[in-house]
Amino acid sequence: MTLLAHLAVVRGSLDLRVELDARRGETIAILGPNGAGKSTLLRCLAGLERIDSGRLELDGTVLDDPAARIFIEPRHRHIGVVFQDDLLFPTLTVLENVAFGLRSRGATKSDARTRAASMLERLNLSTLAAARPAALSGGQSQQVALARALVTEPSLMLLDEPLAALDVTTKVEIRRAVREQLQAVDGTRILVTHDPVDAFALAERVVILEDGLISQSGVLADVAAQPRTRYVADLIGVNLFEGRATDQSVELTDGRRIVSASATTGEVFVLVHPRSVALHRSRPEGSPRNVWEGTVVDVDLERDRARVRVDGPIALTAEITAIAATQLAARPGEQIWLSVKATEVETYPR
Amino acid sequence: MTVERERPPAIVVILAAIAVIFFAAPLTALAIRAPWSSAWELLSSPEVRTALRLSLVCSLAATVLAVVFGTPLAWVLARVEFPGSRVVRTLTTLSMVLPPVVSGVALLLAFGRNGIIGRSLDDWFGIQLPFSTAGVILAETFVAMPFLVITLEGAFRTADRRLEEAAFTLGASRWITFRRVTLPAIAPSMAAGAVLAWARALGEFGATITFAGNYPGRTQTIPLAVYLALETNPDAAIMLSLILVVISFGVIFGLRSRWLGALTGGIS
Repeated sequence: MTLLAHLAVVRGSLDLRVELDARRGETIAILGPNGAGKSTLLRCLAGLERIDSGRLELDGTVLDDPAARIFIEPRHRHIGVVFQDDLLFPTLTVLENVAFGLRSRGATKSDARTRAASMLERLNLSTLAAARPAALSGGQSQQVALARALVTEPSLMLLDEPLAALDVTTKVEIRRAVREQLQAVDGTRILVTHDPVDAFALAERVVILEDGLISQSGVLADVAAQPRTRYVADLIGVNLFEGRATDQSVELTDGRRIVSASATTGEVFVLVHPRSVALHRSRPEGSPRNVWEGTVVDVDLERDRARVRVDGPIALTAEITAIAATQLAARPGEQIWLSVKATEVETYPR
Repeated sequence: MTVERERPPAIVVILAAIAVIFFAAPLTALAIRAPWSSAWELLSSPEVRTALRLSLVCSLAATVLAVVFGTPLAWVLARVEFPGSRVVRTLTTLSMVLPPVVSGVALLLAFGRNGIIGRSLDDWFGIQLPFSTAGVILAETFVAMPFLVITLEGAFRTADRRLEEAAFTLGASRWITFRRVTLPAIAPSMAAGAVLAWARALGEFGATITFAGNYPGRTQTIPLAVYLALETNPDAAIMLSLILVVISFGVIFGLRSRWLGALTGGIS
């Protein structure tokens, strides 16, 4: 482990308690809703905030340990930070911005400029070297900010929502650039984001931070397969319930029952993929074990798919084709029947 | 609609016109009554040139002192929370609104030969500030520095602290961050504040004459020379006044057009 972060920080209403370990060469995405403490965590790692208790260690060096009265200033930590609003120095040129970190760490002016220039070349930004930040587009600024952080070859690279301020088209392009450049970083990469697409594209591991606590962590595919909080379920777009399973039937926390073919018993999470939810105009005949009537709350069209939110005994989101949605006349306020096969109801221990 | 808005009520126009005349008339009178034919002769006289040089030297020295001490003061006032910071802020900008003659008296009591600090300066170092050129610079700094402090304090407040944080994460020391990130960001405000302070120092009269007296060649700056010349040589007084008017006009005109943004951003 090259990064060891066990920390507790209280800032206003935020009570952040995190235990995070990361290996060299690994990218971890910290995913969470606004106000979960993602940025505060990043600021603690950068040394822009002190932790209240716990211990931060990077490559065996203690960065912050209030009990031992150790605090290493940001400038003495071997880190690189890419901020959300790029935060390029407006009075310096692009080249001077990129050379800044090298100059502050003692490189000679000519050496710093040479290395900054080759970094810009690596990112295909050489033509911008003499420009001022005000003349750059959002995507260019973010890439220059990335170059500025990368050029010092940090042991710990911290990225705070690096793509959040970009428009959709630019985002795709810059995401690829960031991905390529991050792979070249020798150290540990920590990416804070609220966009699962960024997490999926850039990180090997995700840490879900909610309300100051890590609610789930692991390989993204595992987290997506078995979400454990409403936030994660919403993020990947699945229906999630909690309940108690006994012999193929799960009693949900609100007392309703849902039939599952899974064999898990005890306290469980119940996951129903929207695509497994079928919608009908009238009560369906045949095998489905879970059948309810409900009211359409909301219909979201996304290309050829429609996500239909239905309120009823058990509120569910169904994903059907846009054509089917039209044929069913699934409009808000309409009564509709839902069915889910028992084999499509997944359960896993809580 | 727009036409109506562009044409204000007659009463407003009349009152505004009276105000313009009120300001323009005295200054125009100066220009009309100025002895243009003997202008060069008056301005090149040794007394006037001495006063001019002394004025420039003292006001520039006061500006430098204001920048050197006022910038850190503004930084502290803007960035450091400490008990009594409001009192310190008031104290350090008080001389802006104090009658200058009061400032002069206060300076005498502090730095005069029997002043609480001046006595020690005299006893230990043999330094006597009152009635010396150094005293002029001291009086001008006392009155002019608040203009710089108040402008810069606002600039330090509004400057983006996150840029400084970015510099820290790039390994920059506090000093390098201040020099390469903070200072360039506040440079326009510093220029505006320095020009204001310089203009105030150049026109300083009350504190100077009270604390430093009126000795030609040593403490007699242009405003003092104008006051004295009014009795003995009115033509010279008019010419000297005109010089001050032209300089002041240039300062305000330049500030209005180039630095007004930085300035209003700074004061608000």
